[in-house]
Amino acid sequence: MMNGPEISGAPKASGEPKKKRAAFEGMLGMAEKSAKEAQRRRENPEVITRTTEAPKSPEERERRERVEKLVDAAYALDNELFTSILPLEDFEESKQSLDAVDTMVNGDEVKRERLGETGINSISKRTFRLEGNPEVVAFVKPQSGEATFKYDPTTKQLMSVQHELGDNGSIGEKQTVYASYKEIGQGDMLKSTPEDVRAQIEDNAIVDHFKSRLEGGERIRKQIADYYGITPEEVPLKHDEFGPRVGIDAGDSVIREYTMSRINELVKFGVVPLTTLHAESLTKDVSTAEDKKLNRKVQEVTKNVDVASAQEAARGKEMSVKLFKELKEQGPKHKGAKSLMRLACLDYLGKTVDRHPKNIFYEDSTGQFSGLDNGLSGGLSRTYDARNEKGEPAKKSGPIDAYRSVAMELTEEHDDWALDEEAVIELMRIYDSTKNYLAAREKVGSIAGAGKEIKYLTNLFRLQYGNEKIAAKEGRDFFTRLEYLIKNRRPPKLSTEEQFRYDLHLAEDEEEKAA
Amino acid sequence: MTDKIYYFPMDADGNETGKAILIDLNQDGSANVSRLPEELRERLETFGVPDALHQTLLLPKDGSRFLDALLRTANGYTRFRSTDKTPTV
Repeated sequence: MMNGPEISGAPKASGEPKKKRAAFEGMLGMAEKSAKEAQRRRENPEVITRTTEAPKSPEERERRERVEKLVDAAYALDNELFTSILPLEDFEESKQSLDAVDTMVNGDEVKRERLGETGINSISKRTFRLEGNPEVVAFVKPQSGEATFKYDPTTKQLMSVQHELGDNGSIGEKQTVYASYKEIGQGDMLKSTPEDVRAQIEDNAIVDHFKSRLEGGERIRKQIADYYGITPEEVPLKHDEFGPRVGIDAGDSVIREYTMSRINELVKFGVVPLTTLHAESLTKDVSTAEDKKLNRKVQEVTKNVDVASAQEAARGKEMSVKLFKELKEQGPKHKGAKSLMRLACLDYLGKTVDRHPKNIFYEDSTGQFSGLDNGLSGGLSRTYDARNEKGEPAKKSGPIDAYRSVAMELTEEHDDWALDEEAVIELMRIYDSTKNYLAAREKVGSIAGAGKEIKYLTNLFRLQYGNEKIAAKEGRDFFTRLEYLIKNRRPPKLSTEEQFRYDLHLAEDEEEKAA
Repeated sequence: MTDKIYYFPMDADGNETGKAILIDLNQDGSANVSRLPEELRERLETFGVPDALHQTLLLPKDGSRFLDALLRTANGYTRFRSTDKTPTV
């Protein structure tokens, strides 16, 4: 027989006194219980949640509807990917991923910790909870946190624009004037600009960037239109607001983060933490004194104020100098070689231009690399005038912004560093299925249930680019890159890209001279 | 312009594990990263931090621009703040 723990000093009860004591203890218990209940209620007041009315401004209403539609569309695509596209033998893994997505999209936020500085960096660490699923800790970056650059043609001024979410759920702008555009590139511009922006304007890369978008905007637009078979008006680049790359506009980095994560899931490389789109809500406490007296909390929730990327926490730490040197020296013999080559191949597939060491994490115990901050991937491509090997005029095509990936740079150091067999098999699975589908479609037209991968990818690109023809072309380009990886078991060397950049500048020079 | 920020050491779960470490400017305008843990210092001195456009990598010699870039790229794994928390050194 099991005995309960003996309580030291507990009175030994017997007979009548026991009853009295019991009654007394009962009263004490009730009082204690009631005090505890009062405390519990104080700590956990009744919460009444009200959803705010739709905004009166049609623009704001449309913006929120877009946020909702985007998150819903991504969620529908995720259901499709994890339940019917990925192989059945990976069911358990797919289920876990879908549960995590579900929790990040539909779960309650139970903890939030702001990590970045207000007005500089809006990243926060949040814990999401959904009944029946494990809790998910994710890093959340709202789209409004992405800085953009604007040009005002009236004042001819360049501005850095920081978007801020207002109390009412609308997104406002905080602008910092960079310089008068007319002054950029001129020797005396630094005299007329404030001290704190001088250093930034001196940065040739920034000046080059603005010049190419402002001066060459129409030309670039035409080159992009030629590449995708669209009109220059359809090119999804804004005229007066720029992102950090020529072919990557500001305002959709969270979708790019999401797309890169899903490409990683599709090819099953395991090198990008699971990322979802998340609709941000704004919660305001509107309790009155009366509510407080009645021990209740009234909160007003404004839904879909912004779209954010929520990324599961990565394991490991940033790439160190020591690790970089080890990888360079040991190449394919390094413990993390397999994973780094996968990341290099993913960077190639996803047209990454921002994979610097700060965006690469490594977990030593497992030899696993993770690629973070994928907001600058999937830029637009173009067709441009260049020269062939004989120096004759020729058309060339490729991404506008050159690949930049430490993973690609490192893996090209060793010729015997190749993509692992398991990863190649995954690529072949997608490639074969698509090839068979396209061949069959040519003969008998569209086939229901077949070619799931290409259909999924095109839908993913549709979400990202918002243009049917661009999505279709990007889907085809993806499979060209996939084929390259299967044949060569590694991405092309970046030196080829350097050549591309050189060709590009050459072509631009030629055009400028001709003009 | 930022002339001093703090680095907060963290564990793998993102919890702060130690007191803030000051990064300020040297007399020559460069950022003084000498108080940082060796691995981090070496990483920042070698790889640098991307600028606002992620085009150029800024190094400690870039002074306050470098500090601004650290604040901008702070994430759940490496935390920098321009706070008034008392530094350890």
